[in-house]
Amino acid sequence: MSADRTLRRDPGNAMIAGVCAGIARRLGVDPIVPRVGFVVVAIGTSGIGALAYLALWAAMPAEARERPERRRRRRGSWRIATGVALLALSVLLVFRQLGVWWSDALVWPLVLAAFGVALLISLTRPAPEDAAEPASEEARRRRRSREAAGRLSLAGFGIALVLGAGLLFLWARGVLNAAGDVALAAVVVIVGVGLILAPLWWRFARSLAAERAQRIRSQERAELSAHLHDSVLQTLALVQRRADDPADVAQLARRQERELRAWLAGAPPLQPDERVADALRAAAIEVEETRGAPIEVVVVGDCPLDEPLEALVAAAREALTNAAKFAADGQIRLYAEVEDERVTAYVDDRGEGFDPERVPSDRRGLRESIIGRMERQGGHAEVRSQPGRGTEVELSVGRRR
Amino acid sequence: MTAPTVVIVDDHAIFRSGVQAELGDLVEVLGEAGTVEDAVRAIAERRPDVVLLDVHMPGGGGVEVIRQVFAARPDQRFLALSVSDAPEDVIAVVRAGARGYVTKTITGPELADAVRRVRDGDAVFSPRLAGFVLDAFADSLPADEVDPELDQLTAREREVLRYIARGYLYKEIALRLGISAKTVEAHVSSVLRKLQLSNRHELSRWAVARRLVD
Amino acid sequence: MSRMRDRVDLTSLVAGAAIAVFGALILLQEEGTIDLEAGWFLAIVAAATGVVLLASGMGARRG
Repeated sequence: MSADRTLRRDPGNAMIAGVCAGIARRLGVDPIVPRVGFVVVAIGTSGIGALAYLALWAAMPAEARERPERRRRRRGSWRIATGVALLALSVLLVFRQLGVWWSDALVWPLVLAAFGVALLISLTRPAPEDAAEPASEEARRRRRSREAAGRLSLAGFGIALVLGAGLLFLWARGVLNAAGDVALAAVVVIVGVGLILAPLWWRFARSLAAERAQRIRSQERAELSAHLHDSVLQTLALVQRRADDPADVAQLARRQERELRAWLAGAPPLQPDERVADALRAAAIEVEETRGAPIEVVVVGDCPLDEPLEALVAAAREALTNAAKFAADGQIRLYAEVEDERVTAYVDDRGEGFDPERVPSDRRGLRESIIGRMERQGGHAEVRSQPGRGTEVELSVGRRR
Repeated sequence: MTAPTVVIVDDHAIFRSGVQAELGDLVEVLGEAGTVEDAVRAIAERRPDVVLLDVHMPGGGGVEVIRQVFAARPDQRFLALSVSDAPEDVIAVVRAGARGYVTKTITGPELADAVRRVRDGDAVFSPRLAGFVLDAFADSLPADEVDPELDQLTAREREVLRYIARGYLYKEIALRLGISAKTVEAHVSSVLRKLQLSNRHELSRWAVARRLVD
Repeated sequence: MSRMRDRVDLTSLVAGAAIAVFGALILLQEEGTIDLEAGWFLAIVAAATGVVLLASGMGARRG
């Protein structure tokens, strides 16, 4: 997590491009504050403020987030949006009172069209992720069709707004005078029908929301049961059966603990092919599982994998395997530190150690393999050991920038 | 050297008895408690050298116990003992005033040693806690925001933390760096102080994250 | 003991303030101290409603 001083956009919390979310993050306020500010300024300056938004969008780099924060836009979003719209409207009215105005015929259709367009744009973005996908194909189809229906009706509304804006403009200009009465009648009818249907629609939407909440709850419960059944209960049963093999039991317990922790933390799955911290952890897990030797891992910092770092991970895996072979009783530890310019890793064990002068040929080959790997990437490796005092393998390589 | 006295605070009764059994004669257990209220009362009555404190308990957790006890006894020493090793939990309880953090997979003798060290006024850092501290203090802040006393680690402190993260004992670190074990302890205590008082964004974020949940 | 501060209900606060301001304006209008046209009132009503909705929405998010 860098505390660099550049102002960054926050696409994870974004409504449009995360400009306001990024500003809010820097100031430590709720994103709504800069958003309201922007809207008011944009309208007050007849749209020039919106250019400022576009300029900031281009100028602000995006936040490089590893894990997007859960979207919390859903609750209260509509109220906030309407509140902002009304505030903008009040600003417009104030300007109208003050005489800073083009003409009714021009401004109101524009405002209407702007809302319609904004609505349509907001629909083109993917809907935020809900809780887990429903289990059955049937439920999935139903949910998708319901979502589609919702989006379609909103799209229709947006289009109607834009068309209505156009009609309003033409009518104000007197172009529609001939067909004026008919058009007016049509508009009145549409509005009337809309008003009549509104309460029904409202109730329908609320029951949908309640049903969805209920569905999510039962889904979560089912997931929890399934997970416990699959993993934890199985492990406990195995533990009872292998109770007289303490090493085996300890290993089972460790594996289950690791899985359960990750699941509870809601952590995203490891990306051992893309990030060096995950790659190192995965390598340690792999060696631990195949050799049955517990390995403690501490990693400080993280960065994407590149070729030199892949070599580092491979060398670390070799060192860990070696430690597990010759020092299975002692604590094996992997410590890695990711700095701006380089990554350093240490594999420490408290096993028998060896005398570097008198090394059996198979181990010498291993040492050379580790050192060779690192040096080929412009890095550095050192293997230190003393008989009875364990072994220490230090690996370091520069980051490709 | 007398055995240190402890009170064990954890809402899992089985765990409390397990810890008591493991500590055996190495440490004298004056009492135990399973809730925040019982813990505060027991600590006030028994006045142990060290409190072995779980992080997650209903009613506010270990952080709440520390807060209430410090109101009456600001010198009470706490050693946090928990299953969780998430940074939010660890940092929150250390910033509340615990002088050390160990995970529940620790062995009996190691735990007794940790208790003794906390009793003697030293800080106990598990390798993972050392990793968190290095992570939190990793970035350099702009000059005007930095309090060199609190917001930065010295190079020596970083070295010591790195060795702790690699599982070295203080004696071994002292040998490696060519300094005395006392000096190593002083560095670790200094790091603890910075951890508790620094206004670094990461630290407050991790501490606050927990408080909101309780 | 719960450690959560009692959150003042933002919506009620804002709504109350908006109504108070509105009432004051109407009073002044009647007294003749100020004279507002209908357009101003419309603007004020829109602003007040908008602010209350905003507060309500933000309250829903925080809670």
